[in-house]
Amino acid sequence: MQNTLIFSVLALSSEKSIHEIDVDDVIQHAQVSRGSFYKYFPSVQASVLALVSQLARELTTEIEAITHQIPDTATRLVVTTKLTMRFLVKVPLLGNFLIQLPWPSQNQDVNVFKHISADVEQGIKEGVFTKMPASIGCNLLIGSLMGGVHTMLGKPASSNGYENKVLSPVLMGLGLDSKTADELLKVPMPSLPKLPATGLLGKIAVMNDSVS
Amino acid sequence: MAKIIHHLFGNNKKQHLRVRSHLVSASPELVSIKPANEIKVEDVTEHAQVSRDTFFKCFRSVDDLLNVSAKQAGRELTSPIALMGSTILDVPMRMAAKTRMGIRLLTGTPLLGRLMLKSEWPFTDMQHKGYLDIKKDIAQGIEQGCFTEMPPEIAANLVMIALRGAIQEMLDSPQPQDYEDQVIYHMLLSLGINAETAEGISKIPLEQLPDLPKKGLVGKILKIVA
Repeated sequence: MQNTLIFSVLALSSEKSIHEIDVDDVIQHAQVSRGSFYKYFPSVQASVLALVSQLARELTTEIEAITHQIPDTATRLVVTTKLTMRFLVKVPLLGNFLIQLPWPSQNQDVNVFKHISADVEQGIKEGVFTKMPASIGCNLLIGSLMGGVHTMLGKPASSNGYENKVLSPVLMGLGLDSKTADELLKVPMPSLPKLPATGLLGKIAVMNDSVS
Repeated sequence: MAKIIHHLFGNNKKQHLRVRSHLVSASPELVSIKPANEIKVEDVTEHAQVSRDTFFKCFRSVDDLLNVSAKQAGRELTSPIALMGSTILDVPMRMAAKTRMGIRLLTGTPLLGRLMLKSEWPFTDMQHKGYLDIKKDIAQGIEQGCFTEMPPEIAANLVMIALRGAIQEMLDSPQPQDYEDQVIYHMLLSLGINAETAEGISKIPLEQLPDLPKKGLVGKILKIVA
């Protein structure tokens, strides 16, 4: 039931801003009673937070299953970020929701990109990136990622190679020289993960199938 | 219950705009009463003395109202910053100084900074005065060969990320003394300035801050915090 409700929030987020979804929208979409909604969540805001943490978990699992074997931190960061961007554009329902989340935010509950921030921090520790407060590097990367996904969702036709255009200045900003940055951006990309059968991503898969 | 003095009945466009700007001008007080994320429609309607119905005829949500207000405050700040920056001929130095002015002004008056953080991200208002000003500097930097050639929206984002990121982090928790310098340094690197030059520019102290406008939303916020 909880998953049904937060999936409705996700579905509604592509029709209106997440700040404009109210309880009536959710219960109508999920076809449940008002009482059932309030049994699980005190407010729409609470259901959005639950949705964020659930999606963060599922998304991280899918991406990390592919990238965790990459030993080099900078390479892993680049592949993870590009995969994440592509995934969010390929599944617009997801992308449209995630770029609406408040950024920057010190509330770690709304940080869906923890897996990416962790690699930035590790890269700074290892000396791969310039020594700096981690927040500077993480903001640079996450802010650029969100901006990039937004542009790519707006004009998917021209999005080929756009991730590299977004990421190249980010890598330079983290302190890499342009040659290293270029080489990293040329690393062959693994294919996108398929939507799994379970969880919220599974629900998206079912919905996509019924459309196509 | 507060008396409702503003009420929209029909589709009178002039009246609609008037109530809209009345609501925008109420936002400085609203953000001074409680954290922006906790402001409810009821707070706005009570404070600005409009009906709920009227509110929703003007804005889709509190966030919508605060985004419009934040962008308005951003427009008010653009002219003084751009004017003071225009005396600096070197583009990277100008970019650094203007970003620094933004960080300084917005963290110096936390209420103003908090409101500005309510502006949308990713930023979509390509005709916004502040956005156009950033884009102009970037185009010049690219033309002169000091910044890497890249799509203008990506470059503009890098500057706005530096600004937003610094304001958020500095308002939320104590940061090292050279945090601002480091933000500027990494912004310059990302725009394609080499490390040595970026380091030099990022250490140039800001000599002077522009005066904040006395009028408008910014003026109102200054009066509240005074």
